[in-house]
Amino acid sequence: MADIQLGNVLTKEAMILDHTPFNSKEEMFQLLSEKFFEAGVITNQQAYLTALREREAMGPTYMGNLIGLPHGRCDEVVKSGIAFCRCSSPFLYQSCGEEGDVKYVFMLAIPGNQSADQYMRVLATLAGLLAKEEFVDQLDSVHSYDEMLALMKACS
Amino acid sequence: MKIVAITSCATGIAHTYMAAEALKKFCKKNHHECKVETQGALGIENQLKPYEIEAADLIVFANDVGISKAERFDKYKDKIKKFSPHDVIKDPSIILK
Repeated sequence: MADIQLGNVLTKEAMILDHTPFNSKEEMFQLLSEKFFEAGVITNQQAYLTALREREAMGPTYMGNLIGLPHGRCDEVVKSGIAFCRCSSPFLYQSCGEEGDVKYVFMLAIPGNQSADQYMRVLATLAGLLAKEEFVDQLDSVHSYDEMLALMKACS
Repeated sequence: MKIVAITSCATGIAHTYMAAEALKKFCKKNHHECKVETQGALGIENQLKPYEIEAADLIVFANDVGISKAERFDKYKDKIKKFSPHDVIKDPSIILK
């Protein structure tokens, strides 16, 4: 994966390390969607939140291994984005009838059909990385945005 | 064992590609030949060829939206096992159970 692509999609403003565990998934949704909005990834926070919640209603986004992978796809996403939040300790993530401890949240902003961009491949690559131990096992050792980019690049 | 699979999901990004990777990793670890076709937001990729479908011992459908070009599998219904991509991600070994 080329640096420029990764750097364009992993949203710097939406990477948070060692956040206090969230009281709920919804609290995390609010924070990360706000970051997407501030970074210009989405043009309307409410519309994106609705897309996230609609996806949650269709099936769980708790992926095991301390990972939550919420994602929303709508036309108010104007560029592909990945938010990453690592919590200082796990919080209870409830998703469509499933629940589990989540420490690592990857939130995807997926452009709708009207706004599809050339970076959607990066979102797909990130989803694949989450199935790889060599990536997931290193998530605790990342200290900065640049180290996260390097880890993603090394594992993809 | 020769395994072919198709993954797809509602939003076409997250589960499709994570399930594909989980299947490939599981098969590699357990020494099964494996090819995974993804039907996601990037279109159909790594499309299974007729001879690969015919030669497969197991055909895995890991989908929660309809499979495109499903008629390719009409002759091999007895080899098909169906799962949700979510279940495959959480435990890929279910494909052999």
